[in-house]
Amino acid sequence: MIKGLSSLYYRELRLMSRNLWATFIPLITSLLYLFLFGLGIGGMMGEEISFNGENVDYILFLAPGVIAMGIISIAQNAGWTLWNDRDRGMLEELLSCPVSRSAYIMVKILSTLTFSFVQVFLVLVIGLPILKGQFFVTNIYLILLSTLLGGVCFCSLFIPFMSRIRSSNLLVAIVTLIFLPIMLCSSMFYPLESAPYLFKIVAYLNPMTYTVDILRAGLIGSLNQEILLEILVLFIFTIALFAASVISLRKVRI
Amino acid sequence: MPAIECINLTKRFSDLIAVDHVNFEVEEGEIFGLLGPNGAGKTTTVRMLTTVISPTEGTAIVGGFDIRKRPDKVREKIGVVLQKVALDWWSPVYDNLDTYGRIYNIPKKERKRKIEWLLKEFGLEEKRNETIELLSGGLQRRVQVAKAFIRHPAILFLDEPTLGLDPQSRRKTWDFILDSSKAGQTIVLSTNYMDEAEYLCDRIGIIDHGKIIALDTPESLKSGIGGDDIIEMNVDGNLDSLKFEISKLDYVNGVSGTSNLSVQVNNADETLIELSQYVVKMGGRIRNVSVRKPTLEDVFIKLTGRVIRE
Ligand SMILES: Nc1ncnc2c1ncn2[C@@H]1O[C@H](COP(=O)(O)OP(=O)(O)OP(=O)(O)O)[C@@H](O)[C@H]1O
Ligand SMILES: [Mg+2]
Repeated sequence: MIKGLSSLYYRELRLMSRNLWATFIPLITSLLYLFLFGLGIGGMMGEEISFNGENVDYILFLAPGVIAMGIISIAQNAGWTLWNDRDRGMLEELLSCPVSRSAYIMVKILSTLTFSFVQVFLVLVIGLPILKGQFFVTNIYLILLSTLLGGVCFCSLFIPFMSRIRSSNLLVAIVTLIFLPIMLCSSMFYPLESAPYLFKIVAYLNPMTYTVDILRAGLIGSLNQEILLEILVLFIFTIALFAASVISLRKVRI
Repeated sequence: MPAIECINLTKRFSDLIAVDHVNFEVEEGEIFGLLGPNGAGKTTTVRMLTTVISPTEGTAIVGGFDIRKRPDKVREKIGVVLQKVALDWWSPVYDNLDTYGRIYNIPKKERKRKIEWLLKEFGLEEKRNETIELLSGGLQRRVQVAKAFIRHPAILFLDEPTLGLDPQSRRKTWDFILDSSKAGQTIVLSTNYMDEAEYLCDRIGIIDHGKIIALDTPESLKSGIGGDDIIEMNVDGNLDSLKFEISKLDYVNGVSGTSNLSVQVNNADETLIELSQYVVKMGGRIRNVSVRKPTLEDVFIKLTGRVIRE
């Protein structure tokens, strides 16, 4: 057992329950995105998009992107709780307690995952059926796997920033800055096949692309060799970023 | 074996040496004070000893374990009261104490009992369900201090524990510290309150610019400054030349002061009148005179030429 994991997780849950709005709002944001996209784009154009050589409803194509956007936003919120702990001196105190550094990070990851799964559930079981009158999912395990890897990956991504940068203004600026390419240089909103070469390179260096692709395979595609490879790559990204986050907490600037 | 042993403990922040090759030992069961002005390096020393940051050079043995090699073992032996209030801002007082107890795996029953007792002792009973954010600064401090006494670690670090507390809570904290010490706990206390250091500490290390510049019992430190009495004179006249002239007198052990004269003598009863007459003779106009015992402040002034706090 990793030292301190359960007591820290309990603390995290208790903090969330004391702060219900902050807990609740990120969850419905994804639903809101879905409905706005659905009503806006779907209603305006009723567009279909070519995916794996078939024409699919744009909303179905987009839903995995919305889920992934939810995951990264939730991960960012978890990161901010680290910044908060540091700002309020709690991190310093916890670092002198018999809890391991990785337990502290794992708790942030666990809370990211908890919310991410709830959010996936909301989008798939409430959002899409309301919009489309039907439940879609081809491979639920691909959706769960991608949510798991994506959650760990993006939560780990924010931790080094949150544990090193002191100024909240600078941090907001930097987080906004890194959000942009992560969201846009990926397969979140459009298929990458027709994208320019350079754009593709950036997109395939971006874990978001893999997260969305695997989610999409789970919603409207299938598990093929390409997806298997993407799972492997996302797995490697996740391990590397997790390691980086543990190291960054060792060198945290109190 | 000492409870703590610092071996060339050093911390650099880019080109600033916050703690500079510090060597000292803290005996088991002792209350050890780190006394020094703002920015002296007290908090940085405590942070290294509590394994929150790692030293740039040197190391320390805390509770039998090297802070570099076995920080996990060190963490089990220690407790800390940080200088900065460290609390979950949007949680109630009770939850904060409870969370701390859980982290140390204190069984539920004992945890509850201890928390009730601490709430009572620190006058927080009525505020138990109040969110930390809404408490006054002093009450927040009380919660912070109370946390440390929920358990009884072998070594307790207190970084300016009474900062911002009212006199009554200050007293209460002192009582807790003395009781814990009687129960066998080793305590390291950093402070820039002289009275606190003097009242509580068995030995005091005076720290300035990251270096320990003196280390002894409060009594020995004070007797080291020369003389048992200090005559304070508020004088109009040329202070510098007066200081120079007085320092030549054979019954005067030392003179300091910037706006008044602090003269160290062995026995004020014997020398006060003679000294006053001499000051008048040298052209000084005495506005008032008082005699007092030396304090740690005098020790600090003697060592550094500055006062600890304004
Ligand atoms: N993380 C840091 N980065 C850079 N400089 C630092 C850092 N932490 C402390 N310092 C510097 O190290 C020196 C010692 O600071 P420290 O906090 O240990 O002093 P202190 O004795 O606790 O003072 P105070 O009585 O004000 O609490 C100061 O000059 C401070 O500015
Ligand atoms: Mg300090």
